[in-house]
This record gives sequence, structure tokens and C-alpha cells, in this order.
Amino acid sequence: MTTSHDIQPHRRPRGLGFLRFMGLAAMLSVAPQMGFAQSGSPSPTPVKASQLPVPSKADLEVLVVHGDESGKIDARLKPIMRHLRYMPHTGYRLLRRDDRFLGVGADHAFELVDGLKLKVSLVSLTGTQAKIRVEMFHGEARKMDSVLAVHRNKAFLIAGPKHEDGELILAITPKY
Amino acid sequence: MNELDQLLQRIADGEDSPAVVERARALLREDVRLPNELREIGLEDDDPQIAASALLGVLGLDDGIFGGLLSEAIGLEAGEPSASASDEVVTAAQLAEQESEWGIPVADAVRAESGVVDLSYAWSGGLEAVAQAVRESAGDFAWEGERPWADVPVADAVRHESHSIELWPIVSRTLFKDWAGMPIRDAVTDGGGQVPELWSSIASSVDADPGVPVADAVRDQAGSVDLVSDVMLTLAPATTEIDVPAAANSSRFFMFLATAAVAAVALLAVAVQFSGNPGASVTSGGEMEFAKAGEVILEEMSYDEDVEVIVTLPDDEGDRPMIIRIYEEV
Repeated sequence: MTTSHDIQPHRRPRGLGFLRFMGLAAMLSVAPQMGFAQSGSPSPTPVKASQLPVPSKADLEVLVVHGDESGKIDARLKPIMRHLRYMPHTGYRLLRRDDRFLGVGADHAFELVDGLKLKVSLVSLTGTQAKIRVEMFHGEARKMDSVLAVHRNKAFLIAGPKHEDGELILAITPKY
Repeated sequence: MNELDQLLQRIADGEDSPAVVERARALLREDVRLPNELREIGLEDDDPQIAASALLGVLGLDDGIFGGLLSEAIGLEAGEPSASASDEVVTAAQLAEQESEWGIPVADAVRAESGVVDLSYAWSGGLEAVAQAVRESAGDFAWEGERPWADVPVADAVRHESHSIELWPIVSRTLFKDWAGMPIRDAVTDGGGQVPELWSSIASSVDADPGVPVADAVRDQAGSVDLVSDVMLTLAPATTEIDVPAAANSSRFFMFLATAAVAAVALLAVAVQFSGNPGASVTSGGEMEFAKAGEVILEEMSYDEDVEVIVTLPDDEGDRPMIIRIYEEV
């Protein structure tokens, strides 16, 4: 369940973005060791990341979901409903699914809803994770620019853009 | 030579008087030396001269091409003709009885003389005619479909054209035999291995053996198949590729170089942790996997002046995902 210290539901005070981000990065850097210790089930035949073949392409998949208070759940979203319960909505509807095979350095942009555009770029790949850049544009203006390192075939969410009576939720997955 | 023989000889020699021919026909109908068929049609040919020569040959009165030899062969095989015997229809049962009683392999002799009739040639030539008949019977149906015969009464059309002969089983065997000779099945088998559900369906459609191993090889080649994504792709509306303009607002683009250094350390740790699970699948039991703590790192982030961003960290189990929440002040 959601806990207040895990989720940061408050808006960022002006001017504190850098410090907040530094704190976040520090937490993320510690998290791997914590997760490994808790799992207690290391692989019996460990393979170092450097030994894995490095692919040249990945399929960047974006699920565009609309969350609202309708109370209606799109049956197609069953594979991710366990995770969407952390979102503050009662209704979820799949608007579209977009996925493109991109080589390292390539990007793909498409319109989410009227005037709101998403651009995803494949920055680099290793045997285990992809570094992707996610940019969001509203008209001509870039509203958000981020670079994330994500484990292969694992998703994360970007949420918040208003749409109709709810908001957009993007589930982004580098598949390879 | 009796009167008939003499008349036949005269006709064979060139006499074509209607009276002579008519008299010869009348005598021919009564001549028990000849089978009924010859009696009826023996002189009905357009050229009585040729017909008369042939009849003389059958009667053993002509030394032409068939003359004596043909008469001798008939006599040897059939014995003396009689009116009652010649009126009967020789059946397979009678042949068998004669063979059994006399020990003369008549049927085998006939088969040996007739040789092997190669119907395949005639059949291959007949396929075009059958196909044409099927097309005509099918009317204006569009044949460009993937399975044009699925909705076309091919079998009925073939039966209709073949006049109640069950040609369709032959047609289907011919077609499927030809298909079996094509590299489709081999390609599926070589490339796939065994997919019981798929191949059994194909096999039942083409009347083939479903016991060909396909599934394991397909699974080996394909790995995990995300059917949910494909279903979503089918059901969800398509997206349109667009051009995104260059950013017009980069004044607040923070690069966080110091953070990147910290993140690099985190990446190294993640790489060690992930090393034991290189083949993780995107789905498990049809459910999408989200990155858990340590599996996703936000290395850089910048946003516009009228935007607020709040990041929710994922939990250790991957149940609660990382959420980058954007608040836009519009």
C-alpha cells in the first residue's frame, strides 16, 4: 500500500528542485543493495552484465491510459491494474499503444492527445538495461525532459497531463 | 461363300449400288456368325466399302490387315459362336467362371493386352477443365482471398460438372498432395518445432498428420510471447508519427551533472544485481512487469517553468511502480 514517505504527493517548492533531485538520486543509488539483500535468492549461475550480449535495438513501448473517476476499468488494462491502483483514480481506459523498434540514437515521437506530444529516444543499451530519454511537448514548448536507466522489459509510469475529466498515464517499457 | 459373303465381296470391290448394300445389310442382320453389334452396325458406316472389307476380315474371308488372324483369334478365344451365346452380355462373373472352369486366364489376357492406362495424364489435363467449371459455378466470387475455397461450394460445383462422380476427394487429395510437396510444411517444421494448437489446426484443415514437432522449436526461437500487447495493438487506435519541433524553451534545462555521477554509481550496483537474471520476460502470466527499486534510475530531469514534477519511488517488490507525475500550470 501507499505510504506517505514513499510517495511524495506534494508539489515541489520553487527553487528546491535541484536539492530534491539530488536526494532522489542518492536514494536510488542505495536501493539496489537494499533490494538485493532482501531478496535472499541470488541466481545460482550469476552472469555479469558485461558478459551479456549487447543488443543494438530495443522496442520502446508506450501504453497511453486515461484515468478518471468513472469507475470503469478497461479490460485491456488487466495486465497493469495491479500497479495502477497506486494512481488516484477509479476508472482507467486504454487510449492507445505505441511501440517502435529503435536503434541506439534513434527516437520516435507521436501525439498523445490534442497538442500534447511525446518523444522517446533510445540513448544506449546494455545487456540488462536501456537508457531512454523521454520528452514531453505541449505545442512548441518542451514541458519535460528526462533520461532514465530502466531494466530491460520493465516499465515505469509518467502521469499528470490533463485530458478531458482526468489525466493521462503513460506506461513506458524498453523491450528487448 | 454364301450370298452375304459374296455381296460383301462385291461391295468391298467397289460396288456401291443401294440395292446391293441394302440386301447385304438385311442378310447381315441374320448372320449368326457375327456378334449382334456387328450385325446391327456392320454396314452402317459412311463408307460401305471399308465396312464390307472389315466384315470380310472378321468372317475370315479377307487376307487383309486383320483378316485371317483376327478371325482365328476370335475363334480360338470364343469357340464357335452361337445365337444364344452372342446375345448374352459377358460379365466379370462369367469371365471368372470361365477362367475357373477352363483354366484360361481371359481376364488377365485382356488386361495384359490393354496395358496400363495412365489416367494421371488425362487427369492433369482435366484439372484445367475442372477448375474452369469450378470458376464458372462459383460465379463472381472474389478468388483473391487467403482461402478462396472456404466460402465457395467447390465440391458441389465439381460434382455438378462431373455428373455425380465424386471427384472432390480426388481433387482434394491431389491438391493436398501437391501442398505437401511444397516447402511450407518443411519450413514450418524446421523453423518452428511443434506448436500443438496451431499445427493441429493446420493439420486438420489440410488432412495432414498433426504429430509433427513444432511447438518446442517455436518457443525456443520466440521466447516469451506478449499476446496482451498484440491484442492491445489490434484493439487500440493507431498512432501517427509526427515531427516534434526543437525545444523553444531551454532556459531551465538542468543537467544535474553531480546527480549523474551518483547515478553512475547506482548503475554499477544495478548491473551487479541484475547479472543473475538476463532473460527476464516482460510478462509473467499475462501481467506486465514494472521496475522495482533499483531497476529504474532517473538520471536527468528538467522541466518548464510552469511545470512541477514529483517522483514516486518504486517499492522493492515491483508492485508500486516508479511514477513521474507532471503538474502543468495552465
